[in-house]
Amino acid sequence: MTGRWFGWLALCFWSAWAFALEGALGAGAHGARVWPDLPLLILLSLALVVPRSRARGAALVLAALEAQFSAVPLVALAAGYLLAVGASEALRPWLSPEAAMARGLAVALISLLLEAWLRLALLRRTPLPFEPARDPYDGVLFTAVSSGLCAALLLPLARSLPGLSLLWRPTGGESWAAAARVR
Amino acid sequence: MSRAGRLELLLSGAPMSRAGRLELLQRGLLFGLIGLTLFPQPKLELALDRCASPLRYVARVTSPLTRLLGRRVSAFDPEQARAEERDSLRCVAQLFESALPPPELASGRRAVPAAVLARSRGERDRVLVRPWTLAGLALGQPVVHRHVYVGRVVEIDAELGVATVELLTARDFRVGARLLPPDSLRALAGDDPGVALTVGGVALGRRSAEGALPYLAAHDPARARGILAELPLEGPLEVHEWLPDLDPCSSLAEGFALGRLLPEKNQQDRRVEPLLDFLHGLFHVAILTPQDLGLPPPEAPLHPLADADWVPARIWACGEPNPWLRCLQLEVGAGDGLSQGCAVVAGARLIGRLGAVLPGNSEVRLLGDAGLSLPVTAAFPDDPQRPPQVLGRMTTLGRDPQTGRPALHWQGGLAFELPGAPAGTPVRVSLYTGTGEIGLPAGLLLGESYVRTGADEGGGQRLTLTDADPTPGFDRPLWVRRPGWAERRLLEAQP
Repeated sequence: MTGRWFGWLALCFWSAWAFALEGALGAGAHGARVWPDLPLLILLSLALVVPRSRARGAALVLAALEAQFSAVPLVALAAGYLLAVGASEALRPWLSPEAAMARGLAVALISLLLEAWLRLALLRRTPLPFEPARDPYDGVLFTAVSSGLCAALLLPLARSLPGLSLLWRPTGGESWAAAARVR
Repeated sequence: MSRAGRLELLLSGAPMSRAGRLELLQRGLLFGLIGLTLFPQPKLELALDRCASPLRYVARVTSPLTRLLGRRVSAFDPEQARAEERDSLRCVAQLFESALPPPELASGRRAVPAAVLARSRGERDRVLVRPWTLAGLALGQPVVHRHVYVGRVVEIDAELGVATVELLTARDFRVGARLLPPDSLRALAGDDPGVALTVGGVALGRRSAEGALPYLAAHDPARARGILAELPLEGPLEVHEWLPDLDPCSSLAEGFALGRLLPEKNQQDRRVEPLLDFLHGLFHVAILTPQDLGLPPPEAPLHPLADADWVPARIWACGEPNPWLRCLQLEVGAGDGLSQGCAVVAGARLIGRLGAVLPGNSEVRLLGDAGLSLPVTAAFPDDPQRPPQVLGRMTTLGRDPQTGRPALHWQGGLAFELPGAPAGTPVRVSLYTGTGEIGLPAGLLLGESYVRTGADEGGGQRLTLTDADPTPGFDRPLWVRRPGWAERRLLEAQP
């Protein structure tokens, strides 16, 4: 059980750096975001190998952590990441390690849905009386494409970040058979 | 088990397995979160934010990244910062000065300058003002802005040092008025009192254009008898009480302008074109008291930047993971006396306002974030002696895609006019915050921009801050305005 807790801590640690990196890149950027949604890649990478309830737990952890960096409401983030986990379950055959192209497409689709959902949530809260300088959905496609490309190349590696394997590799009281079943 | 089977099991009331209950719980959670996202419940969201806030200690392991970025950005120029502070001081002094009545209307009256703090308890037609002094102030005294009549004092709170002013736009407000004859007839009219009316409230008729100011209502005109009897009911109006003995303060308001009476379309539609934007353009006013009270002239309060109500703040997260938002995270929070809406400055520059505030953590919504609404006034850097002009309320539109600098929407209201400049001329202005919001001091620099002269036909203007730092706050210390006890009391009283 202790190993699992370290796994959760590792998830928090790596996700925090992913969010901070995205924030730092966004602070200096003028145009649309072209870098991938790194925390989503970590989440999807884990969701493929951990039990469903643990993947949803990871989604909630990511949402709570992102809320520390972001003005997006926690409920919208949590719903968005849970929907992303749900979508990854539905698209699981596409996300297999063998099919890089299909994996990229599936992740791009999930990223597109997540970004659109978060922007819809923001528009529900602060409806702008005037036309904003940038379209609220501007850049959604860029993020989806770059996330898809990154997933096609690196998705299986994301769960190999130090410490994350404690979340999906069998620990003391878990059999290899159970681990194989969820994989 | 199939979906139908699970539903059947649920409806039959048979005990579910642990995994089944967990699955049901998780789905319920998801639907609940979707519902809360689409139909926001601010109190519940705040409670959830508080529950998740211990994770900020984990998130702060990334603060070295912010420090690294701060070292990379080194645009801070101390000389420029001092110049901006000097300009801000001058702007506030000029704003107060520009609200005072002109010399021809000032004689026999003592003018006490006052800053508008907010609408009183959210009512549109009452404003809270903070006068420089309460000495000599009394209920019923008139309130003016330059030569324009604004309303009268209806409440004085000596403990908080504020007064409530009922505006001319209030439904039951009435002030005596007279229609000024054309210049060519003034000499001929002699002692003829002209046309008597009362003015007060907002006219019900349609505005001239979408977004234009609402008209004031004129009531009960009494026709003149002499040479002015045949004149059309049209022209400038000024305050004139026909029965001054009924109100001891009425003589103080005598001669102040009310607006321009427009030609009537029907008997019920007598409209007065206002000279002020009573909703968004009222930043500084003057309360008129009798001059013979033997009181010393009121002293100016400290400039907001010079008082002690500022908390130093350090950034721990320099950006927002979601690129369409512009936020920073600070290491100060509710425990330091801060609350939502507090101003965040770097030197004399406003860089944003606090969004969510939790114990030990607060989020700054930067000027580059869309949806931030601010009262704004324009100073003229090319003509520093020219008094600043109140622009009213502006809304941030996010960052300009080309330059990355904040864009703003100005709804307009009164036309922006400059002597000698034809309509449509872009004029370089320095934009400063105005008054009208508790917790947001006046005179904080937003940046430079260009405003076009002339009326905007209700469509408003889009401005871009040409000198605003796209990555503010990394290169110099930030300060957050902490509301004083009086401001906190006033904030609590606001709806």
